[in-house]
Amino acid sequence: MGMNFTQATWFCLDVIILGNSGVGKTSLMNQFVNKKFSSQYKATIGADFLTKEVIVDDRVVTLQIWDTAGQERFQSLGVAFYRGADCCVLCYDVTVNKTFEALGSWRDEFLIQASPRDPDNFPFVCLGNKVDLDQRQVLAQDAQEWCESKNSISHFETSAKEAINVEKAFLEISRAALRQEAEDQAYTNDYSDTIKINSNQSQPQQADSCQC
Amino acid sequence: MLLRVVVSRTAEVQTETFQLAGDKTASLASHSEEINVFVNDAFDDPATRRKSSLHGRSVSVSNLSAASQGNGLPHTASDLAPLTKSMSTVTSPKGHMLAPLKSAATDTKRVQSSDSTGRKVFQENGLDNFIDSFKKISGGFNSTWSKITQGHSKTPEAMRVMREKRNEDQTAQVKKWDTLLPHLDAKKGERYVVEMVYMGVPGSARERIWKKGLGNYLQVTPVLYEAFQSHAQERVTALKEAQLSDEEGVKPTVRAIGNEASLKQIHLDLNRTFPLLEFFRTGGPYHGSLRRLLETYVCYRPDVGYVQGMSFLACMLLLNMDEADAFVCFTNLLNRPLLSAFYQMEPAKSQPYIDAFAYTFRNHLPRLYQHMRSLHVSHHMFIHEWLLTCFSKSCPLDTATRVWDGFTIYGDVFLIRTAVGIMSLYSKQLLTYEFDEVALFMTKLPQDMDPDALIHHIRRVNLTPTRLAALLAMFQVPAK
Repeated sequence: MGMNFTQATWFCLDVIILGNSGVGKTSLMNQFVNKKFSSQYKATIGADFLTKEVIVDDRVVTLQIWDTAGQERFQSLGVAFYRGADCCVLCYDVTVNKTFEALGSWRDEFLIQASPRDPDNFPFVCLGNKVDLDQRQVLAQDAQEWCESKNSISHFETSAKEAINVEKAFLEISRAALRQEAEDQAYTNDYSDTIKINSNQSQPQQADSCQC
Repeated sequence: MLLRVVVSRTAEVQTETFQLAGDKTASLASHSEEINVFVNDAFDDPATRRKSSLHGRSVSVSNLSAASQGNGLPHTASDLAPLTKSMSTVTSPKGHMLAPLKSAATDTKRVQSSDSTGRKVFQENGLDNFIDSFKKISGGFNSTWSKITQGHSKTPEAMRVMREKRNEDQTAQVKKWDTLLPHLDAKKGERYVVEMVYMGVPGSARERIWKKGLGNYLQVTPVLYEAFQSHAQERVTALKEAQLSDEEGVKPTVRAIGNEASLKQIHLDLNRTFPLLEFFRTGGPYHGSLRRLLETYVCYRPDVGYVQGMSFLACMLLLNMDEADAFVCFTNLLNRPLLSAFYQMEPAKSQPYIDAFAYTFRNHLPRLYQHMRSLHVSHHMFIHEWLLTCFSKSCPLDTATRVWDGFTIYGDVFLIRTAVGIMSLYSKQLLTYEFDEVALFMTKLPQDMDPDALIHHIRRVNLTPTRLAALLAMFQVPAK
């Protein structure tokens, strides 16, 4: 299996950003997509959405990024957004310990609601935001250790305000999402092959359509 | 005198042309104007229904002969009143007062147009060609004509013109509303009241009207607010201390009840509610009021607590009234069925409303509904924000305020109608969009949304409170 899909395939990758309220999910998304920072974003209610075309390993892919409300109580609405995600970004604020401690429950909640095919290997990327501020509470090493303990989640320390590591983190997010999507497709193709043989029906090829 | 009457229904525009009895329209002799006789569609009141034969239709009248002379003069709403009256009292559109033009059209003597070109074409090729050639020859009235022929888009413009005229006479408007206010509940189903609401309430009377519209079922008083507010401040301090001692390893003596812990969320949202207005940001004049109001609500309803979205509702009220009154309105607002269901954050309770929206949306705009379905665009991606904030986050402030004019008076049904109205307003462009374009558009509505255009689309959405209740019952999630 792996990444041996046809060159003509155009990939739409769904990425969802989770994390406590105020850690900078909207700011990270906007810094990555629009290359700017604003202190005037409204609180996200429900969900927000942006897209960006990126080049990953010489392949053009479209990232569809879902930004969510941070208040825990909005988790109950999550199902609608979590399903079908190719990568989940877990965000915390390096200056607020509690936002880091909450990552475990965000991850669990995602796995329950999205119920991916292979939960143990579903790609997460962890971002510690606001490194431009002085009052750090979460040590990089602690975060790194936690990430290692959860099947080696990639970890980045970022600043949406100063555009530190944002590009790099999202490249890793794209790569992880592409890997996930490719595996999903290989799985689906294997599955549909079986159907094809049994029912003798031809499966429509979706070579030039968006796979989302 | 020749009058062109455009009768519009919910889904399509029908054009019928009538010859109006001369004496009835004497007051229009040298004018050209579109008027809208809106007939209330929002209420299932048979009494109201019977009053008008043109029920559910928007009627637009234009004086052809005067227009073709190019001397159409603007005139006031009161000038139009006699015509409006005569139109609405007609028992049958094809009755004795209004004769269908088709039969009268052959009688060219009756066409009082001074423009021979126009008349000639009209005789030869019928009405459509006449309109086309008319557009060419009378540049000054191009816009009016294209609006009439486009049907749907003419009304917002007419509404805007009428509203601007009315705004010139604010005091008369305020007086009209003040006379109405004591009887608002009884009269809100009447056509002229519906029209007053659609037209937007005068700014200086908005506070009174919203308060009256929202009512005070909970009997919350400003004194109660004062009491709860001081209680809330003590509670906030106690909980903060408890949290600190907890972090230091000391067992806290005070515990958060219900959703009181959500108090912490409030300060995160203060600067992120209407950030561009500056009023509510740190140091802004309403920053303290917003914080106090929300904290007091958490202590008043610890079972509900603070949920993101509430801050936008509170701001809408604080922009129109003082803190204590805003609290009274806020509690009653959140007590309304739709908001109460949504803010409990239990999908089983809010789902029926979302289904009712989807159902109405499908009936009203089947093509767009299908289009979005085929793109796999879920309305979940925007409907929560729309309804939780009653459009105050999603729409520009002036538009949101007009929506609230309707919502405070007519309740939940107006929110669902607005949601479908927004879909309708942008349906043309949405139909050409792909998945990502639709998703981007719906999560970031245009900030130049025209309130009149939106209201125009809202009024075409056919959803009565009775119907909404039936839909909710139909979509109710059975208890486990």
